[in-house]
Amino acid sequence: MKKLVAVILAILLVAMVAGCSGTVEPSASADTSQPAESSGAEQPAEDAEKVWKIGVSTQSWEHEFLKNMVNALQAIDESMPNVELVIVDSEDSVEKQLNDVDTLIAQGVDGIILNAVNMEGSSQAVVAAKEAGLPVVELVALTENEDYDTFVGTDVKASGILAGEIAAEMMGEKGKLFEIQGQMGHSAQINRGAGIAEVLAEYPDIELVESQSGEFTKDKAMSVTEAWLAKYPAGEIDVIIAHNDGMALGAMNACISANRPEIKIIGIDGDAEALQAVIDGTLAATVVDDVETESQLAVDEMVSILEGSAPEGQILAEYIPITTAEDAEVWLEKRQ
Amino acid sequence: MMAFGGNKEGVLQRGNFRQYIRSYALVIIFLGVCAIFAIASPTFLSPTNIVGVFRQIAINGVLALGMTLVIITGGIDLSVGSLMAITGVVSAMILENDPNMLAVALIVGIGAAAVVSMWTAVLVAKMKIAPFIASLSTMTIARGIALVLADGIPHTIKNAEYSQIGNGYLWDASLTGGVGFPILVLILIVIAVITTIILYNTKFGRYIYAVGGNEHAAEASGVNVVKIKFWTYVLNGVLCGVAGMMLAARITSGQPNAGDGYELDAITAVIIGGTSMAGGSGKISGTIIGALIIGVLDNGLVLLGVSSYYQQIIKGIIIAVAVLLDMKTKKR
Repeated sequence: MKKLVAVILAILLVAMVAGCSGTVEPSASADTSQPAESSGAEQPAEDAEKVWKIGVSTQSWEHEFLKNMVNALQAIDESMPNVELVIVDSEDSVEKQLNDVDTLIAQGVDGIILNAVNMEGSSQAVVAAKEAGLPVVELVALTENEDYDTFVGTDVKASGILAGEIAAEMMGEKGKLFEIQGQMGHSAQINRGAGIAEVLAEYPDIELVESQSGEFTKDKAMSVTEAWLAKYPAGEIDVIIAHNDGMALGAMNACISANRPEIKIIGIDGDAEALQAVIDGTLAATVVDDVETESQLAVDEMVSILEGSAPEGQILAEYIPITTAEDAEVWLEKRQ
Repeated sequence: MMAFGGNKEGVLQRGNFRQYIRSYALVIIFLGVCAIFAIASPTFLSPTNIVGVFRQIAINGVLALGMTLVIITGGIDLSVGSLMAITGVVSAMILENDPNMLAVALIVGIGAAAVVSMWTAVLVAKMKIAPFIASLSTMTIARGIALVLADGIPHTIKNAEYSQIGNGYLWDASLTGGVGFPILVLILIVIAVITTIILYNTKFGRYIYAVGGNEHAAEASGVNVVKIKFWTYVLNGVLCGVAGMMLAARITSGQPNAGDGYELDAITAVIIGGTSMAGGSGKISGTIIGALIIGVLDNGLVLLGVSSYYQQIIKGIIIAVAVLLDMKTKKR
């Protein structure tokens, strides 16, 4: 009980300290509303251009595609003298993303680049940023809340369409197709799935035998594939499409160890390991999502909004299908 | 009052500075961490950030309070994250049918988590299955139920009042310079008060300590151990429901994969707070400080721009140091 009292006292103490510091200094709200003047005053003349402090909340640093994005953002941070990127990792947790965005806002960033953890949940981050009067550029993943200024990414559905068409071509427009879906409810899962479904509607002789979620992880995709390999003997699986390369590689490993090389596997993203597998001939194809270009476009768009231009609303990058070793080598060099 | 507590609260005597320090070791660690961040980052003590930290710990805090009761009985509950998902999904789907049924959504949602937690309660209390295993079973079942109910996809909550619970303030924050009192924090305080009363001021609370301290002795002295354990797990289920509601409100959607891994954060807060995994001792105030230490670490490391990879290493080390210091100061 006495400790509880101590806790409450400690909390009050901290609150008081905060309250005091708030009154001694010009006050926090005034502080954040005029970062331009203050930072401009600190570093005068020689650096005439203002340094924009941009908060970047990313879904995760652990999936390879997102790691490519984080690497690209870090490179941009170093190469552009007029921006300072504060890149934080939501560790795949929506709640952490909302907390991180609150922290970035408290830190007084000029704008938020949001790589949403998920469509519904991350919407609240847009609300928080907008309430603080900050511009929001969404990168790669969309939120349901459409109050953001600009979305930079791809038409995710197009990657599903591309992958579906590569599959149809490889199968000679008929055969048995399997689909390993991403984490259910993730915008990439919903849209890539929709793209694949759209292509399949055009080819009545292609049968989508099963769709299972590999939750965007290699090991889950591997066990899903192993179950299929046990259930369907040779000749009953022609192509497996995975919603990302990690899962495609998992499926590929399962097929290699089960000695089923006739199964063609198609991934999406263009991860280094997948590109290498296309070169080696163990993976049939991948669809490159040019996340390096997208990251650059997102930062450029944020700077242009901060400097007063009207937001573009939507900036889309093209997907690039990789079906040959030559194409794969070009991209592999970029991503190493 | 703390007859079964087994803690050293009783030895605190006036004028004894060293013992005073020992009893407040956790508070001192907490303030120390705060001081470091305050020096390193000017933002840390800004009112908006402090409000942010309290809001950030609210959900984990509620979970950790329920977990404290369970751990004091000598048990553990790994199913809390999955139970949260059930509440979120159930209330989101009720509101999807009829956006006006806010009260029904809240009560049925929280009730659903409590009902599913009875699976653990029965397995542990009646069937005598080890709590780790029993709750592992519930963890998987509950996640499956959430996925089935939601058909695997997130359901957006379109009821503005519900999302106010997670993102709103007691008063319009813009009136006080953008610094408000988050409703989530109010819920945490209410739950802390309720669990404090239950644990320290009721027979049920004393029996929770007794069961965890020495089950056979408790049984011999007439405590209905089965009943105490059963209701402790169900009570924890209710608190998981409350935390699930808070999370769903915060992310304005009921997601079947929500709360994944939350059990570990809750257990961490309880352990940092000085509650013994062996059962029989532990305090509400300790758990709150434990949750605060985790929250402050998460927030401060982000403010300092520490790379996410190093953050995890630093957090792990600080958890060990906090527990070690607390153990050291409790000894002798």
